[in-house]
Amino acid sequence: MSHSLKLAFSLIVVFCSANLHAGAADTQVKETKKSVLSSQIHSAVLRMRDLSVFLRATKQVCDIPAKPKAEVLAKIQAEYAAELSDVKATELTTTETQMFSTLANSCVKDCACVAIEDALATLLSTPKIQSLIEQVQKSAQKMVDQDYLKCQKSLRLNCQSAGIKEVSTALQSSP
Amino acid sequence: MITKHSVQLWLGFFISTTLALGCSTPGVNQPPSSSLGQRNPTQVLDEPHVHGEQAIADLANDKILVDAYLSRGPDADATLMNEMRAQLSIVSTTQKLASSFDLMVSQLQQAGTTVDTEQLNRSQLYCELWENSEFLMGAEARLQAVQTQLLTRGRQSDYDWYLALFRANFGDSPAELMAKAQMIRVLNDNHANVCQHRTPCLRFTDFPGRPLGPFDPLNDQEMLDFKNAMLPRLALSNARDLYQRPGECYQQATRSPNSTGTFDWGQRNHTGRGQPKGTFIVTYDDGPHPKYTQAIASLWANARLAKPTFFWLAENAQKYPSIVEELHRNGFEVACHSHSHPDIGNIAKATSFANLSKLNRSHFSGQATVATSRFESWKSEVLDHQIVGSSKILSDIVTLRTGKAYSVKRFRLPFGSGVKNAAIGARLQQSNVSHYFWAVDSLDWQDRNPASIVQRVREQMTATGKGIILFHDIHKQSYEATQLLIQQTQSNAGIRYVTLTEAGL
Repeated sequence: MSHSLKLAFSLIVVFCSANLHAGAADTQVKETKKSVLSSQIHSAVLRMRDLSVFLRATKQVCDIPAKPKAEVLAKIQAEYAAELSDVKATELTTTETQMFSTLANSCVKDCACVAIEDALATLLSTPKIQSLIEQVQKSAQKMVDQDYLKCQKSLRLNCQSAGIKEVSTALQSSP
Repeated sequence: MITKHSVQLWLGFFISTTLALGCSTPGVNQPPSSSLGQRNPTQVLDEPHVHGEQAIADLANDKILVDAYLSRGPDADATLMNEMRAQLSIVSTTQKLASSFDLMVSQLQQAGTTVDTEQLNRSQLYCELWENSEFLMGAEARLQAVQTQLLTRGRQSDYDWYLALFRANFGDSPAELMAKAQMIRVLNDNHANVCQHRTPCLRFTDFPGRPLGPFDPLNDQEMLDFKNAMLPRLALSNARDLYQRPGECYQQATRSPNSTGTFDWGQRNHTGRGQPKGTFIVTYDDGPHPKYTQAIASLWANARLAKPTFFWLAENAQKYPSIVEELHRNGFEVACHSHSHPDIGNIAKATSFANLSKLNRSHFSGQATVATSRFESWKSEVLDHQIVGSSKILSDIVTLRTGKAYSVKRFRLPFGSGVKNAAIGARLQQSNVSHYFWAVDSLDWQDRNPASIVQRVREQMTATGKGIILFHDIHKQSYEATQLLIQQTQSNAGIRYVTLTEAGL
């Protein structure tokens, strides 16, 4: 892999992280009393959500040519899996379960249904979690790429930003 | 890359293959592989026990004897002799092919010509040799058996007939003379049996050989004549095809025996974008899954469309070996997707455990104490296990459950991560597998809506026009999307699904 490609992948991660934190800011302000664990789970789910949006909105917006785009999408998938690994096999507290419930209730609007479902599926199962999974599953099945495009705008994940342009350009010029 | 070293490496494996295909009988002393690059065709024939060309020549006109045997009707002798004739024909034809290729490369090297091994591996001749190797090794064994049966009866007439038949199978071109010499090895390897009733025993002498002059395989009329006259099925319409047209079995030819050297990412990382317009190859990752894999396979089988290739995790294959066996038996191509789906590209680049991605640290959390001083050896073991080991596990599952030797030939890195990495390439090379990326990404792992998945896939199919499609066989939505995709596209004349093998990949 060329140096430029490595650089590109680094850039995309930096770009995603920056936007993820920006998108999650409002929610985090409301939950300042969370435990460290809760913050990590919350942060991971929001990052997964933003990566989902990035994946599915990229098609319409980012105008990345087919070949490098496949590599960019694959890289994002790895990032998504990394975030998911943060949540894996965790036993939730009541507060954390409530946090998921809140997120689940607004998951269509935030395009977070898939991310929440994936996160819940890796947690230690409880009846409440199963119930939440069923709830977000139904919502997730209704989501189409157009919905993610709207979320991409509301979350300010702008594919036209310099970060994405650099990724695309670097990938195109790599051997 | 054209280098003398690469030619020698290649020659080593090719000639090994040649010997395996043709007359590599136990007990025959073959030149060591390290010297094969320097050998010339006549040297092969200088061994003391390989003589008797004149003895064969003496029987050149003994057609009466041959005809007499062949016209005797369906008695036991005739059956035996016809079997002998058939097996001799198969093995000698193979040996002629191998020798002509061998000769070509030797002469190229002696003439100081540099050889691009990748191009040579594209030749139809080589492809034929490789693809038929298993069958031909069997033919050699049958030839040896029937030869022993016939010649140990101690009848001079059998022996004479055999020599005449032998003679009739070969012409006088350099390649055929080489082939004949190799065949004589077979006869002589049976020396103890064949010679027990006669003294002196058969001795082959005076192989004429030919001086090796400048040799241009692109314009060598003799080689063309040989192929056109003796091997019409394999004849090349244009000798330049030998170098310029990738044979259908190119990838098999390059990947299977070539476990040394450098992995050529340029040639062996496939997306299917080189296929004819409208050609698509469907693949599934991450299974086998107890609920969805067989269901997905059934959809393609019932639609009578080309069967997809499954890139499976070895750890899942170990859990569900019966699914592996079933799909393999039903003609689905089984490929490897690592052992447990870590980010292999990240592992290969990391310099310490702390340097690993979050995903990998979590993946290998049971080994969180790997010290920096031990990291390189740990990394090497992990790469070996995830690439070489996992491929072997899958191969072994198929082999053990079907009772037939099977070797996985295809690999896909998890997340497609690590393409063009040298350490990963070395493991792929060691496993004799090629790598498969994709041109169409369904994102079915992320999208729960089958219609949305299919819409995305079809948009990309239209945009790319051809290539490998990526799905996953562990999700409900992937099954449903497959069903929908088949419904929507199976009658579309502009879309042709093929297997990776059919695509020559």
